[in-house]
Amino acid sequence: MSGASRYEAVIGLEIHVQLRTKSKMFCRCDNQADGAKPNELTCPVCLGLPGALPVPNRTAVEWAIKAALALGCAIPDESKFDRKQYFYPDLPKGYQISQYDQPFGGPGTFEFDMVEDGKTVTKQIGITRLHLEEDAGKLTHPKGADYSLVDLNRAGTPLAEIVTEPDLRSPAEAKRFLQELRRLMRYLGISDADMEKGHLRADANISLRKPGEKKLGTKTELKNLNSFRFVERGLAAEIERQTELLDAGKSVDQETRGFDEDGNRTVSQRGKEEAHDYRYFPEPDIPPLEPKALGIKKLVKGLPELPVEVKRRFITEYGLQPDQAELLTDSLDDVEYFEASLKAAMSGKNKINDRTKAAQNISKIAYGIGRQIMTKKMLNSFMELDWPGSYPSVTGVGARYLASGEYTMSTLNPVMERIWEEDLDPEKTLEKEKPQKLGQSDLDKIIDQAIADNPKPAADFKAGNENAKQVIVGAVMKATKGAANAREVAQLVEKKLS
Amino acid sequence: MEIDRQAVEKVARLARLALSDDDVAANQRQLSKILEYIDQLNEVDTKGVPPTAQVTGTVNALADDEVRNERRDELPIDAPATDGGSIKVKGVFDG
Repeated sequence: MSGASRYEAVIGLEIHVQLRTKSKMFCRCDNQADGAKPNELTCPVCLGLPGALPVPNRTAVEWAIKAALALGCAIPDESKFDRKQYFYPDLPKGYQISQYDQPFGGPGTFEFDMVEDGKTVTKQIGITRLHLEEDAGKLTHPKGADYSLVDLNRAGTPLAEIVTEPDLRSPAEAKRFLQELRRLMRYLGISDADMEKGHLRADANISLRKPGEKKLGTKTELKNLNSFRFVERGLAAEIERQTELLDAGKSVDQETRGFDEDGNRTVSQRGKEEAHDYRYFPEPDIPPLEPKALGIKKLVKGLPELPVEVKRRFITEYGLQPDQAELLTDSLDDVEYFEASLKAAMSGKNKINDRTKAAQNISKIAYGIGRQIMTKKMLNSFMELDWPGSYPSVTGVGARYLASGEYTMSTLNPVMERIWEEDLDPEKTLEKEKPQKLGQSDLDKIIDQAIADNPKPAADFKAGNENAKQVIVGAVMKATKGAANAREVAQLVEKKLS
Repeated sequence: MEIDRQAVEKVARLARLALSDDDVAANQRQLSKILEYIDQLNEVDTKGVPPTAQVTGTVNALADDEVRNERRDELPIDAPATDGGSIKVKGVFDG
């Protein structure tokens, strides 16, 4: 039974974003731990040895401020680091260097658009704060063993922690927020933000209340929602649990819970509750920070056009559908690729004059053929996900030939593939490989042949089986190597058979 | 300042230390003594002196983002037990 109508869910998120700096937060150990042997990337600072001096990473600090600016946060005049004390084997110092009362980013707002009931709705989610801290090490628990293994390569990796106001109202909205936040982090170039690799980790606070009620209900904290799917499913399971409790007249206990994927339910982690006394105090080893002396103007200037703005621009300026715009603005590389392609499509001798038309054709090529080839190439060479420099012009030229009617998507597809794979000149190749323009009489002949070759489907169609004509249309498309327009062929076939 | 028994037990729990009754009593005495000693600072007149955790007057002491530490073959610490480079500790299990 759904509780959605009886109660309103109130959700806030805490997100840890792993920054992709070269070195760690407070020491100059390598921050790229992928493939390293356990504890290979450690030093006295990140091992927490006595007498070691932590020195903050300038880039990490600048990126935290950059992220805070992009989230519309106020940047304070003064900031500092603090020690957060707790004891766990993955934390060698016995405290984590974090920020308590002077984070880098004060209150802000994050805006994004999402489609709800077929309509695009703008969401504004309050950002409580953004602060910088160091990650802990990694613990593994060998199966059946009575010990755990500690690898401190990740200890000291810079994390930006972002805390939202309880402004989210549904699991779908929370998931969407995270996806948009990931996109923002990637646009800013400060994190790979890959949830599967733990670059983006989310905890959620959630409570229910009657619609119209102002007062917040008792919340629970849902830990380690480590994929977009878990965020949605975990929150849905917790809403269901709280709904049942409230319906039965019981109260919700304030506690930490985890999502049990197999049982599709949340489970109490009461045991972890007791140590929430972190005894923060200012980190004496790190002098205070004055963010404004770090060249805020330069950081503001260096901010990219934000994803939400790019997407809106793609819809209004280029006449793209929201879902097309979504795909084409996935990364800044994609945006650059699209706009360079558009430029190429709207210049040259058979240039497209209508921008919307050009944009549509590029969208078709980029996410039809382009993606397919890129994926193939990436699988072959594990190359980075950058569009090679020549791709936009190739796409633009392809869009032009599509617009001129000399090619259809199916005739264009194989030629484009060859151009990309063999690195051919797009203009010359598309000119040379132009499919024979089918005259009406040629098409008539081909259709007649296809009907003659397929007597049974033809008879079936005449007997009233509408679908039977598809066999004949397919045969025509095959014979013309895709050069014909399938809809036109279908109409002609129908006419001939009736 | 007098430290009571509960305070010692709480700090011990936070620090994951198992203290015997005698240990608790001893720590209660010793911690109280330490705090009494520190209390002497309260005799100084700090009116008009802003609180600080810093004495150097330095701000924005930051380091450039470059890798300068080499990969190490061996841990620079005497871990009681290791396994393939990892440090072995008593089993902890995430709920």
